[in-house]
Order: sequence, then structure tokens, then C-alpha cells
Amino acid sequence: VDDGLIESQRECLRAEHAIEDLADGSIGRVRWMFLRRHVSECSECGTYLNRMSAVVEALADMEHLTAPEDFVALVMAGLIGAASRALGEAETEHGRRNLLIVVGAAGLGVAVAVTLAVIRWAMGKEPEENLAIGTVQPL
Amino acid sequence: MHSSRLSRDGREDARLVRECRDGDDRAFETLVLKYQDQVISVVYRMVSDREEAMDISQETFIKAYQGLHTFDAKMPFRAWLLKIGTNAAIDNLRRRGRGRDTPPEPAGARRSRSQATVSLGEFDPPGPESEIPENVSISNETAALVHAALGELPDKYRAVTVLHHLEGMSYSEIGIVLGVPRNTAKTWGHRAHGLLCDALEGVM
Repeated sequence: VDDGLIESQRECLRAEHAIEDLADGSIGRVRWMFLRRHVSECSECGTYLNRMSAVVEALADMEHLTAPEDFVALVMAGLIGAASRALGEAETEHGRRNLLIVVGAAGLGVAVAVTLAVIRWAMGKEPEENLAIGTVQPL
Repeated sequence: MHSSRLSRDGREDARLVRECRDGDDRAFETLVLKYQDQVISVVYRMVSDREEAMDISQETFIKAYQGLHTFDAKMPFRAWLLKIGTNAAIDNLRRRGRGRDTPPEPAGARRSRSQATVSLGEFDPPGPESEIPENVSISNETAALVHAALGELPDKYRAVTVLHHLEGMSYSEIGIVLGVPRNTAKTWGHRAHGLLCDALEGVM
């Protein structure tokens, strides 16, 4: 009985694979004949075959949509738009870089000016200190 | 070297791509005209919305144009284009929170216990022209159920199903489009079929 059950399950598995191949459109004549014989004896596989056939037929009903007449024009316009955007972005990037250079240069200028001012202030202060020191130490 | 392996159609596409790279926009227009219906149809089946499908398809062609320098002539142009379109559709679904990543359990209980029977006379043996039973006609309701179930499939399963059944692509080609091995594409296709069959439980 067990052997018979195992054999029956094996046949159902073979049938299942055959049905999948049938759905793929790649089943040979011998397997097709096996499947025909098997589904006449196995209602479960018969149901599966029926369903698979319905699925394949429904999928075969899918039709190609037709593009609107102006689709090519829309794509080409989109390309021009994308190119302009890319150009705009490049210009913006260029402008941003220029601004960065100007701001950087200005910052550097301010830094240099401040440094010079500090140095001048320090140098201007030094003689007074020396003078003060000189005054305090006459002896 | 590899271009000699391409079909005549593939070589024609490769020539048009070369002309595009040389700055001939008319060559790109020719490619758009040639593939617009395929791209729109595949994207529509992925997102189930015509307006979105149009927008994503336009975006697909624009991305393709911008990425022409990365196109590898060893790959068929159609597969490359559909790869961009499919990825754009999946990205769009995910951005809108409609993407489906996690596949449901592969249907172990795919086959029903119902007692429907199939008579031998119901099907013709497959011949060279048709390998699918022809005599099984389905109702509009059944077709609608299948189409609705297609929209519920995980993105990758849906992509395989659409490319296989709508575009007639082989699993090898689908593997190229989705960037997975052929056997993975085939497994996804079979799981999709199983899930679509599950949708008909109770109907047949």
C-alpha cells in the first residue's frame, strides 16, 4: 500500500511539473500523453490543469497598449527638458562655485586685514611699553 | 565580435544606438517608435495605472537616452530597455508604498481537493502550433480574477509573468532583464503561476 501511495505521489509530482511546463509552452508530446492519462485518473491534478489552463488563457488575453500619437514628441521634449535642467544645474553649480570663491576671497581679505591691524596695534604699543619701562628704571 | 551573435533586428538596434551616441536624435526617435508599445504595456501591467504607465515609460526612454554610453552591445537593446522600464516601475511602486517584496508562501496547498474532473476529450494534444489546450474557454469573470491576482503578486513574480506572457520572452531573456539566473526567473514564473491558480480556488 505504501509503495502504491508513494508511486501515486510521484506521478502527481510529475504531473505538476508537466502542467508547469505546459504553462511555459515547453512540454513534449510524451509528457503531454502522460499528463492526459494521469488527469483522467487524478481529479486533483485535473483541477490544477483546468486552473492553469484558465490562467494561461487569461494571461494570453493581455494586449499591448498603443502609445499615444504624441508619445515620441513627449519623450523628445522630455529629453530637451532634462538637458536644460542639467544645464541649469551645471550653471547653478558654476554660480555657486563662483560665489564661494568670492566669499572665500573676501573672508581671506578680512582675515589678512584683521591680522595686519593686530600686528600694527601690537607694534605700535611696544615702544610705549619700552618707554614706560625705561621711565620706571632710571637707576 | 558579440554583435554578430545578435539577430538582424538586434544588429539594427545596435546601429541605431551607435548613431544616437554620435548625436543623431532621429535614430533615438526610431528606437522610441519601435519599442514604445512594448515598454508602455509592460509598465502598465506592472503598475496597473495608465497615467502612471505613460509617465514611467517616458522616464524610461529618457533614462535610456542618458545611459546610452553604458549600454553593452552584447545585450539586446529590447532587454536593456525593458530592464530600465521594469526597474522604474518597481521603484515607482515602492515609492508609493505599493511594492510587494515578500512573496507569499509558495503554494503547497496550491491544488484544491475539489472533485472537478477533466475529460480526455476536453483537450487536444499539443501540436507544434499550440501547446496549450485550446478548447478551454474562460469567462470574463475568471479572466478578471486572474488579472486582479496578477496585480497582487510580488513585484518580481509579476515582472516575470508579464515579460513571459505579454512579451513572449524566454526565461533566459527574463533573467537578463531582471539580473537573475535563468533558473531563478523560471522558479519565480512557476510560483507566480501557482499563486494565480490559487486565485481561482472556489471558481473552478
